Amino acid sequence: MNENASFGKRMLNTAFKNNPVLFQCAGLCPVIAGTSTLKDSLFISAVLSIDLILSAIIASALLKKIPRYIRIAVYLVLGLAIIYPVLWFIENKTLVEITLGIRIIIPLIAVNSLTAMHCETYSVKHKTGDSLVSSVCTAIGASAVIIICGILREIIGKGSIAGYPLEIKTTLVTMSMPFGCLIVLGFMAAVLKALQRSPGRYESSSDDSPLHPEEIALDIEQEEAPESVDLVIADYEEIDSILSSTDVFLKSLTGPSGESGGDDE
Amino acid sequence: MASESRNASKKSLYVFGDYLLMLIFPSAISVWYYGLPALRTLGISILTGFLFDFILSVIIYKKYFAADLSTLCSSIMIALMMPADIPVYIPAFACGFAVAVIKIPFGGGMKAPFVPAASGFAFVAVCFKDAVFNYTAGRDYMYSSSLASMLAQGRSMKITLANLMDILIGNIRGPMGTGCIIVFFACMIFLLIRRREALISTAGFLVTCIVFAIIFPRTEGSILSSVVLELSAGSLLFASVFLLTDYSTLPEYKRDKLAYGVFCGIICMVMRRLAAFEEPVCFAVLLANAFSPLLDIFTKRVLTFMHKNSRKKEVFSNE
Repeated sequence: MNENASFGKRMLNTAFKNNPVLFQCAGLCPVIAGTSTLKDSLFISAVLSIDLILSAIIASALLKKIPRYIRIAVYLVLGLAIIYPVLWFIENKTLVEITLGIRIIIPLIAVNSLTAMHCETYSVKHKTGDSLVSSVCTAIGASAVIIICGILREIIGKGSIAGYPLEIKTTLVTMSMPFGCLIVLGFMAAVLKALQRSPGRYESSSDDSPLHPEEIALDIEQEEAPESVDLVIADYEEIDSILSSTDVFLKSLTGPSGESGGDDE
Repeated sequence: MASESRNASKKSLYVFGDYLLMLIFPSAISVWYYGLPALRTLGISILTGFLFDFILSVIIYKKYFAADLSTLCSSIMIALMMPADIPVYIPAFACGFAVAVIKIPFGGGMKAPFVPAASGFAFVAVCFKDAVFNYTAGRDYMYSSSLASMLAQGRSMKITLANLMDILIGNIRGPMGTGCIIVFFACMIFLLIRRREALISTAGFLVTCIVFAIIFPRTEGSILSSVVLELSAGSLLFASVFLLTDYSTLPEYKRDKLAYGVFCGIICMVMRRLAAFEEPVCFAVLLANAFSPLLDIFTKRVLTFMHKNSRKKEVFSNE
């Protein structure tokens, strides 16, 4: 990441292009366990952000000269040292109710891979200011995913939002389960990846010339992303004729000595 | 490359064409027994499957291939495992899940790591447990509940020639297309001719289930009634023919196929005794799917190790 880039660019790069949760799969454990409702996901994202930012600052300021194998353990202890005072403060000095589920998940945040990975790959190699900016961007990226995940899972799984019931008759209970979160994360990653693609990449081609036989074979197998979106309506006979024409064409290209590979069947 | 893709597409048509041919008969029997509700469930499943397949293909810029029969097969399988009078949105959800979460993201029916039909059914079984296992449609049957439900409650029935015939032709309460046992035996014979190796896992699965039924009977009757009831209850035979022989999830080597079937059988029978669902065969298949690549890796390592040892022995003997 370029240190001289503006905050907006760094934010775009960290939170959108290289989202730590969706593309680096960091910190998945608390995300999966604690995002079944919006309230829980807000709580998780707040605690995760505090942990990440403070750990990153301390790592860049104090831990640069400590050997790597000791640093990893230090991140975990640091996580606990940051989270428990925060938890104590929330429980005793605020009116926020902490559910039993969240109490179980909080220790997972202290040992989450997102903090350790960010501190180890970025914070200990950069100045404290840079590390602070980077950790804020990372925390925003992770929190955005956690909150969106919480909203979607609560709406689909429980038919409510932040505890307020919506007029949804059919809910999918599985979305409140951990595997529902993995499905939501998968689709979010796919959507984000699709948004990152340049819009002109899949513009339909104006070339109406017939496809090369190899392209036809590829299209049949559906392995490669094609240049344009067309419908291929084919039945057994059509496919057989296409395949046989491909075979004839390849034989003519390779000559009598060329081998096109036998059919296993 | 072209010849590889030609082989792959031919293989796909060969495999799913066979499945489609086999699925015609249980579908016809379900329509014969349940009439319009069965037709409606089948129609909704097929329509949803195709819609999801088409829309998602367009979204991810893949050419939609109408002759890809995997979606059609999965949709029919899902419908056949449901009660005939199920609300239409449930098979629609199941087919949508099978296509959108299992088939399309992993590159098609020939590459899916889990059986799409089993995944779709398992998804709705968790979400709508009461509706998925509520068999009330059809005529007045001899028994008020399904065989799987009877076994789960520890009730038994005496096997006579009359009720054995009912069981064999599927004239009992249960999923709309998984009751007629004769059809599945016919399908097994068909598979024996077309894809003999796929039946190894089916054999391992059925033998394990039979052994379990003999050793740990859930009925108070004879061993024969325990075996007959365990095999004919729920979707066990249907799963053994259609889900367990799925091309993409089946291990490569013969011994692995056998181990895969045995493993699935053990999980299925343990789940039948312990799980909250009266028919957990789809969950057992999914769990076995997860272990299928490990079986292949294990066997490849063992074979490589044995090959290296034999080469070393040859070198030593030559020296």
